[in-house]
Amino acid sequence: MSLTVGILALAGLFLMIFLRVPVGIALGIAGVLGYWSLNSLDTTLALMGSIPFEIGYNYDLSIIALFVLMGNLALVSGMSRDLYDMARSLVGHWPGGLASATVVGCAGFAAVSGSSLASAVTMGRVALPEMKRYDYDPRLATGCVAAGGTLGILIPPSTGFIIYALLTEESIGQLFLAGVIPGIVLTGLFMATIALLTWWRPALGPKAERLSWAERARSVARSTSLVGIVFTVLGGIYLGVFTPVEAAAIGAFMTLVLTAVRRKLTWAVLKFCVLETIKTFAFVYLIVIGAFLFNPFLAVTRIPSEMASFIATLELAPIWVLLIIVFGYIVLGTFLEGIAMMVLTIPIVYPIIIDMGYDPIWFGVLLVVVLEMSLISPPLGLNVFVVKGIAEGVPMSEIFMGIIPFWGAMLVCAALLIAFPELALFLPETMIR
Amino acid sequence: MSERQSQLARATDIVTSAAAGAAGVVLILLMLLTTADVVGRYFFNSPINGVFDLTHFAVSIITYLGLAYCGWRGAHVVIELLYDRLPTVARRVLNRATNLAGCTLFGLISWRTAVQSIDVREMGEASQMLEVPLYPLYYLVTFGSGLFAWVLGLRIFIPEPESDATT
Repeated sequence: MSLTVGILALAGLFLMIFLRVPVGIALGIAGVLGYWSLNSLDTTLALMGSIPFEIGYNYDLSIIALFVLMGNLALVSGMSRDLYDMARSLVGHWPGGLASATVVGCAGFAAVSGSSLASAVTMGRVALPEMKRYDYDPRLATGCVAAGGTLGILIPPSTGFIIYALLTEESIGQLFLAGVIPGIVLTGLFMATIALLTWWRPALGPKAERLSWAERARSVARSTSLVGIVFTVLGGIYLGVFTPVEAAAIGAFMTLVLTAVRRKLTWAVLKFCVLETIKTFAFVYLIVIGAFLFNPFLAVTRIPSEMASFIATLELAPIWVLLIIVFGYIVLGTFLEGIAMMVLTIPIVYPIIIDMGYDPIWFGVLLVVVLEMSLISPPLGLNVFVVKGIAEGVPMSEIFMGIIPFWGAMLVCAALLIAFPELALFLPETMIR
Repeated sequence: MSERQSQLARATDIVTSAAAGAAGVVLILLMLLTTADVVGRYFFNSPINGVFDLTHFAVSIITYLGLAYCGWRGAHVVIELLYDRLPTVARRVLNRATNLAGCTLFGLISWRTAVQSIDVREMGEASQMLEVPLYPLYYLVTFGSGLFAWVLGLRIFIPEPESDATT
């Protein structure tokens, strides 16, 4: 009985999401109705009276708000331009160098921003006109921005990791550190992809002029303050100097000061940044509250435990189960948005992963890499829509063509993670707690 | 939009913006307080008492005061797969149904949190370190969810302008 109700509710949930009901509201409605169908009205109403408060009364959620604020401030401070200029002065004269510089710039911006969309937008505005000027192939140009932007949710701070941590009660600090090396590896893989493409067809990405060492030193110097902030935030977490919440506050504060020093901070700009932060945070929070209204119901239906025991009866080797899960995510990712996908699936998938003996921190990183793939998969990859908005006159089909090699690079990154879990686990295992 | 509708829309604009502004002030204070706490701890050997509790309060305030603003200004990333293929009339009906459902959900949350606050007050639930009573935060949840329900309810009659899905 409860299993049937559960499956019906899940089906209803998916239908609502396809019909454009905001994910948080869809989860809340399916959860409350489902819970009511299996319990008394009184317990259901009691649930609605207690859960919303308990979810908001949360220490770790402050990390999202503070890091979003930091990202928004970084956005207005003009740092993205500096980051791009620095990367460009170092690698711009390589074949496809401007594309590589874009990817490095995205990685750098990802280290102050937790959002992939923001990374793609900021770097796209700076880098796309440059690549157009040097007559880059539009497919390569748009592909590297869309793909590079996805680094936003892998390189900490990352909204994806925070949501994963909230749903699974894993440590945010460990997850953040676990994302660092895979983030660097994926950046490298993107650059290798660009190098291969331009080696095969040099006309795809002509070289830009080589800059003198003095010019390089100047552009590197302009980015040092930003690099300093990133090292303070992540180093502080790694060395146990402060908690992720404190790191987020200090990072936001330092970025605020830097923005002020650069004379980019006006009253209007501050107001804009803060209100944008409130909006983004409330939006994420709405999904979280929906998830926590849905999950008690899901637990009552026993779908997660039934699913786990069903998989146990299959007696498959853990690696096959893992590969099936990853494949499932890649398919789901073509039509579901990343955070929504995570919220919908984690309660079911997480127990299976634990049952199989996999490390939950490592799985979080693997999951985020797969979510990155979903951000650029047709037909609904959000980053592609964002890039389409900036790159005038490049048809959607061209952008999707340009993405294919980068999508392959992500697949390689996922495979590397599965083959060498230490890539993710080295930093969290050696951090000082 | 009729005269009455635009008056309501303007009033909603003012109230939700004011609430979001207050949430923004709390966010800035949270940032400054936490930074001061760390600086105090390492450089002056005097951490600020109760920052842990205050962070909890701040998150409650930021979320519930920001919710209605987010709903009113619309920051939703939505998935357009079936929706795009629907005729305009169906879309309109669907949007109204969605807003009605959301309005009901958050209306109920607002009401039940108010009911719950009575128990919380009687039981004397308080924060961990500072032992501040928690029931006022339940009022805040009641207010925030209520305001969000109001916004969604208003959207049944004053539909959101059709906008690009990705912004």
